[in-house]
Parts: sequence; C-alpha cells; structure tokens
Amino acid sequence: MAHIAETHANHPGPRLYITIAVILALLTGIEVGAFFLELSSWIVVWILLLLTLTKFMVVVFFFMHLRMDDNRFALLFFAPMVIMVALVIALLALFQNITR
Amino acid sequence: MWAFLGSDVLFFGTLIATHLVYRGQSVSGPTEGILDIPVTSLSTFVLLMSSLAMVLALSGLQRGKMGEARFWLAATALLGSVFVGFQMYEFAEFANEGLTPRTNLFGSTFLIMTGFHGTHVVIGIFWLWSLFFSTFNGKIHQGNSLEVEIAGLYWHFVDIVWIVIFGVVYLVGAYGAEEHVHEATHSAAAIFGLG
Amino acid sequence: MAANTSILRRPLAPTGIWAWMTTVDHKRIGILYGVTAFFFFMLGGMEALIMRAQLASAESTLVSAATFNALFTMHGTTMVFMVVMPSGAAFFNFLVPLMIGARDVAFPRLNAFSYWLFLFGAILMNFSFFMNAFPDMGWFGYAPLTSNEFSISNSTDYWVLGLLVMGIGTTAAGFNFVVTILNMRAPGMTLMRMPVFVWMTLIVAFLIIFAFPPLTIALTFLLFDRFFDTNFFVDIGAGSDPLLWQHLFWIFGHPEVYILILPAMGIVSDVLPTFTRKPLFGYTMVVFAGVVIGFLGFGVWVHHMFVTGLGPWANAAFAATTMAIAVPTGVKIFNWLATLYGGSIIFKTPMLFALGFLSMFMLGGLSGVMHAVTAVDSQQSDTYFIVAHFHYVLFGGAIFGLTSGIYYWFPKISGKMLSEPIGKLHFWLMFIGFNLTFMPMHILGVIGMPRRIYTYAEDMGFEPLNQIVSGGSLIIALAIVVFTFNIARSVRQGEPAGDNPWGAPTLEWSIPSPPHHYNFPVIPTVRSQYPLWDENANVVLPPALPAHNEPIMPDPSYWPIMLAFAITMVAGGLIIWQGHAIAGLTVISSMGLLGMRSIFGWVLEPMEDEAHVSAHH
Repeated sequence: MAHIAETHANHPGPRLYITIAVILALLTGIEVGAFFLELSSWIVVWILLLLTLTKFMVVVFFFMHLRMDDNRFALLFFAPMVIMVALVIALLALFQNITR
Repeated sequence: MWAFLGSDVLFFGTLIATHLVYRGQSVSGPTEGILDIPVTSLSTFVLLMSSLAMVLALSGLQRGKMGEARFWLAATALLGSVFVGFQMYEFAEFANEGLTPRTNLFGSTFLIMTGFHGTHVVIGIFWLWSLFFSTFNGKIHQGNSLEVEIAGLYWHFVDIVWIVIFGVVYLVGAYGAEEHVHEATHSAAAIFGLG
Repeated sequence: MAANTSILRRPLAPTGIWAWMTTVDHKRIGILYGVTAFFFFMLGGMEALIMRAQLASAESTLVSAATFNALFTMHGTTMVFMVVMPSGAAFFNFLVPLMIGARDVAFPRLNAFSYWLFLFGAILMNFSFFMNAFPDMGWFGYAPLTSNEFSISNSTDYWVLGLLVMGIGTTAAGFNFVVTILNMRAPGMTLMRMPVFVWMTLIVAFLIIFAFPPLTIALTFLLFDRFFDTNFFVDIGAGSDPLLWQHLFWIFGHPEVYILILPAMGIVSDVLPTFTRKPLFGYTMVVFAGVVIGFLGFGVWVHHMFVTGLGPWANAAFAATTMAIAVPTGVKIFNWLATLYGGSIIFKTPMLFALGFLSMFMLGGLSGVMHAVTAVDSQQSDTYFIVAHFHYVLFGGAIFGLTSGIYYWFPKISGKMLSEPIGKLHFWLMFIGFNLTFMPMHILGVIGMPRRIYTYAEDMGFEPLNQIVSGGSLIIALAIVVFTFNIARSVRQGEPAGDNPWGAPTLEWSIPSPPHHYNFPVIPTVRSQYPLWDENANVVLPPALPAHNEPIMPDPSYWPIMLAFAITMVAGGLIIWQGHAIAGLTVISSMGLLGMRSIFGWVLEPMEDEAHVSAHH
C-alpha cells in the first residue's frame, strides 16, 4: 500500500495549521454573526451556505491534505459528493420543499 | 480510508437529505426554534479546534517528536469528548422541552442524524485513545505515521460533516424559525390533501 | 493483545473445517461464496416452484395467501441478495487478483469478514422461518406495510436486520475491491489493459459503496420506527411520508440492479473473445459505457415509482434519464455483436451461455425501454409484464452470464473440465425452460394479470398461459438438476484441465489449475490487453517455486468470523429484546463486547506478512 508517499517535501508546519484554524474560527464567527443579523433571509441563507462550503473545502484540502495528494483520492471523495448533491436537490424537488 | 469516507458522504448525505425533505412538515411539537445557536456555536468551535489538534499530532509524529504527538492526540480526544458532552447536554435539554425522536418529524430526523454523527465522534475518540496508548508501547512511531494520518482523515471527516450540519441544519434551518412553524401546518395539509 | 496464536495459526496447505473457517485466501473465499450462493439458488428456486405450482391452476388452494406472500418476498430477497450478488462476489474474489497479477486482495481478513457476514446475515433472515416470522412484505418492503401496525410479527425485523448484516459485508467488500484494483495491479497493467471483467468489478465496487448507504439509512429509519416509535415513515398524522421509503429504497435499488448485471456483462466480455479467437471489439467503448451506466444508474430511480402520483415533471425527467441509460447498454450489445462478427466461433458451453445472455438480455432490455415510457408503464406496472422484464434481465441476463462464467472458469478453479455433452444438455434445457416460463408472462401482463396475487378466478382467462409458465419452470428445475450433476461428476471424474484449456488470453490462464496458494511464482510484467495471445508481450512463468522460496502469504485468522458472528448476534439480540427485554439486552451487550474484543484482536494481529505482499508492488 505504498500509494501515500511519505515524502512530504513541502509538508506544512504547525504555523500554517494554526493560521488555518484561526481562519476557520473566524468564518464560524461570521456565520454566527450573520445568523443574528436582521438582513433579508435570502442573503443570510446564501452567506451561510457559502461560508459552510468554504470551511468544508479548507478542512478537506488543508487538514486532510487533499491538495497535495494523489488525484485518485479527490475522485473517491468528490464523485460521491456530486451524486449526493444531485440526490438532495432531486429529493427536495420531488418533495416540493425547496422553500427554505 | 478515502473510499470509506466517500461512502460515508452518502450515508450522512441521505440523513441530511431526509431531514431537509421533512423540514417544515412536522405537524406538532418543537422544531428549529428549540435549537440553541450560541451553545452550539461553542461546541462547533471546540470540534474545529480538535481538528487542529489532530493535524498537530500528525505533524509532531512525522517529525519524530513523540511528546508532541502524544500531547496533541490526547488533546484531540479530549476536545472531541467536550463536543460529545455538549451534544449530550443539548439532547437532555431537548428532552426536557418535549423533543424526543418520537415527538415529531423534526425530532426523528434531527436527533437520529446528530445521533449518528455523535456515534462517529465517539468511535473516533476510542480510536484516538488507542493510538495514544500505542505510542507508549512502540506500536505507533515515526515510521508508521500513516496509521495516524488515516485516523486523522476520519476525524477531519467527522468534523466537516458537522460543519455541514451546523451550517445547513442549525443556522439555515433555525433562521427565522418562528415563520416555519406557521408554514408547517399549511404544507402538511396541502401535501396530504392530495393523498 | 491478540490471544496466543500458536494454536490457531496454520499454513495454508491443510484442509479441514477450521482451515476454511479461518481462511483469508481469496480463492477459498471465492469458493465459499460460490457454494453458498448455489445453495441459496436451490432455496430460492424451491420458493419459485411452489409459487408456480400454486398458480398453475385457477383458484388453487395449494398454499394460503399468507404463505404466498412469504414465498414471493423470500424468492426475491434470496435471489437478489443471496444468489446473484454473492455469485458475483465469488467471481470477483477468485478471479480479480489472478487477472491483475496479484497474490491476494488488499485486505484479506476484511475479505473473509465480508463472506461470513453474508452467510450469517442470510442465516439470520432465513432463521425467521422457524420462528413463524418469514418475511412477507415484498422484497422491497414498502412502508407502511412494514410498520408495526400492519406487520405485526417479527418478519419485517428479521428482514431488516438480515439485510443490514449482509449489507455491512457487501460494503466492506466494495472497499476491498476498489483498493485492490486501483493499487495492486502487476507492473505494466495500466487501467486500460485490465480485462473487462476487472473493470466491471471496479465499477460495481463503486456502485456498492455509494448505493448501500441510502439503503442502510432507509433500513435504520424503518428499524427505529418499529423499535422506538419514531416517525420516519409510519405516522401520517405526524406528517411522515411513506413515499420517502420508496425513494430511499430505490435510490439504492436502481444502482443495485446494475450491481447485479455488470459482473455478468464483464464475464461475457471476456468469454466472447476467447471463443471467437479475436479481441473484444471496442474495448474502450465497452469500458466507458460501463462507467456511464454506473454513474447514470443513480439518476433513474423514480422509474420504479411512476404510478405513485409524483406529477408530470418528475415522471418526464426520469423517463428521459431512463431512456438515456439504454444508450450505453446498447453500445455494449453492439460491441459484443461486432466481436462475434468475423470471428471463428467455437460453440462450447461457455459460449452457448454467453450467446444466451446476449439474446435474452436484449429482450429484457427492450421490455425495459418500454417501461421507460411513463404512459405505457402505467398499464404495465404491477402486472406480470414487469415480472417478465426483470426475469429476462436477471435470469436471462445475470444468471446466464454467471453460468457462462462457471463453465469457463471451473477448470481454473478445480483443475477439471466440466462435461461438454452434459453442459450442452444443461444449456438447451435451460434455454427452452426459461423462455417457456417467462415469455408468456409478457402476454399475461398485457391481458391484465397483476403481480403478487396468490390465485385468480377461473373466468379471467389466465389459466392456459399460467400452465405453460409452470410447465416451463419444471424444465428449468430439470436443467438445474443436470447442472448439479455435471458439477458433482466433474469434480471427481472430470478431464484434467491443464493451465489453459480454452487457449484464452488473460493472466489467470498463465498459472496452473488450480493455482498455487501464492498464485504467481513471479509477478509478471504486462505489456498488452491480451498477454497470452501477444507474441511480443507473452507471459511465460515457471511452473512452481521450491517450498523454501515460496512467498509469505497472509496467515489465516479467526477474528473475521468471530466479529461477523458477534455483529449478527447483536442483530439477533435486538429481535430477542422486543419479546424479552432482559434476555435481549444480555445478548446485545455480551456480543457487543465480543465484537469490540474482535476488533482489537484483529487490528493488533501482526501484519508482517501483509508487508511482504505489498512490497512487490
């Protein structure tokens, strides 16, 4: 099983990870802040969804190291995501419940 | 592990999808209004920091710093336990306020979904403690850091599932929650009026 | 720490029950799957024969309606989950490492674990027969029939838990094969040089790991509804929608039918070249079509729900996707036909069944395309027309294809040839019996015979055709008897097979029949899709290694069977808990502890042997 090479030449150090963690905390803070704001609900919903997606991607690519790993792993992970998102949209449409 | 996580994406995705599909359809009982956003924000922050700890543990191990690795592995497990503690507190509160899996659709879908997530976290905590103890008897060391990396992938995955649940189910779900209670009765009547 | 292993670790050579129970050798696991699947084929076949006996005459009272419900439920569940899927698994297990030039799969103990979960889950479900709780709610268990209100006995619980247990095993096998195929191919074997069967296995493995979670969730929701009074499907007053079950089940169910058919398609794609003495026409297109089918398979599930009143938009959208999925399937059929064209066809039994597959699957596909047209499906739904369709694709397709594979690879697995004359008899009996049984069902469907009825009135005009159908089923039974005889006889007295009795081109034919436990004396370097036909890229291996030079293979292990047993008993404990709380909890907790112990034992078991295996790649 030698597919995950241990030669991380450009392996990020602790400092980068802490920076990322701070960014994640900030994004969460913005999310929570947006929640308590009195903006139009559509704007808030989209902000929340976008922030969620950003946090998701940051963790996947940096903490889970996907950016620097073999492309096959990205396939194994993102193919089901595509299927899942399509399924969720289809199910919501079928149950006529898109009015979030 | 990536293959497993891909599969787990569909597992949690289906749970989230079911929750979304049933959103607003509960005929009675508490719904999103019962969610306590400030408390959950705190537990979310804790879980995010546990991912940081996980990554620091791996980094320490890869550089051969056993002390660092052990410290951060334990930290990850402890932070994870704090998260689980928050979840159990939240569930107990909900039960007091009349929300259980039997109460209504919201109860069933929300509690089973977060319940499965919590179970995944607990399994992860067991796994982390096993790794922690294995650093003492030589079973885990710099040469086989892959074992910790794989556990890390699992742990981060559990974290990102929570990111999605927190964003979509808690925040989006509870935003303007009062309105949805009124909508619920109308939609339910409409859908079942058609049989 | 693992228990002292000196008593329980053994080399692979000895036989005996304990060796088989602790084996982690993919070849033995493949044989276990195959034999078990064959047994359940008999069982499912009996269930069918009783149904046909009942339906042969109008207003028959041979079996009661309740019994009939159990028969069609278990016939379907058995054939899908305990016959066709494990038969595919048998082939994957035995062949994939041989075809890619590997010594075993990526996770040998996980492999064993998958098999034991299959066996124990199947036993759990069938055990219900002795508890008078044989599943009777249809193989797809629609809500709210499966709720506590309408399904009072434990039949649904056995069904749900049996499927959950088997499902864990299947999903684990999916992971195993994805990793094996992506990581353990011999040097030089690029993805586009793999036998088509390996490609189909890869796609099926992906389908499994992505389609089983929705089923797991649906079953879990149902379990919670029944055990803990939650509201996922059953309480209309609380807003639940029983249709949600159908959606979740078919989101699994449709990819599942591709899981059922793709292995057979892979087998045929490898059989045809051997018996036409020319390469498969359009390898790339066949592979690509398979990938597209796998992907699109997730987008058509609503075609099982056209008559549930979802509205014109939903119906139209899914009718379109369903018609679209016929395209890659058609591509494959044309490629197979083109392979035949201009070849020197050898009409041996594997080829006969492959040709049978082609023709019968095509007929089933045509009726399938008819169903894709929503308006037409409204008439066909829940009639025998649908029954005809899926039997043509599953029996005429999957079973014929798998049988072709059995005749083709039996020599490799056992070292003996199956008898040609008996094989031909088997084929013709099967072909005639199959068509006599299922062709009239199209007509029965069109003249109005509904599915799942246990009898029908005299004046409906169904009787004559039903008699032909039932007569045909007896011929099928006879064919199976002939087949069983062929196997039993050949295992003892069959002609010795040699390495490559068919003159086939792929890697598994370069080693002895049956293979050494280490498969390849030397891992070959591959330079072509058809290594044994390619003079420039030919693979010739030494016949065997001296004993002291044999590669170290993974040792047998008892943790997989123990963990599988623990998991199954936890499931059984849940059922006990419903009736006797304390007894149930005792079983669940003790078996849970055994399970945890097994996991630790398994993980901590020394893996040095595995490292030797991966070092080759």
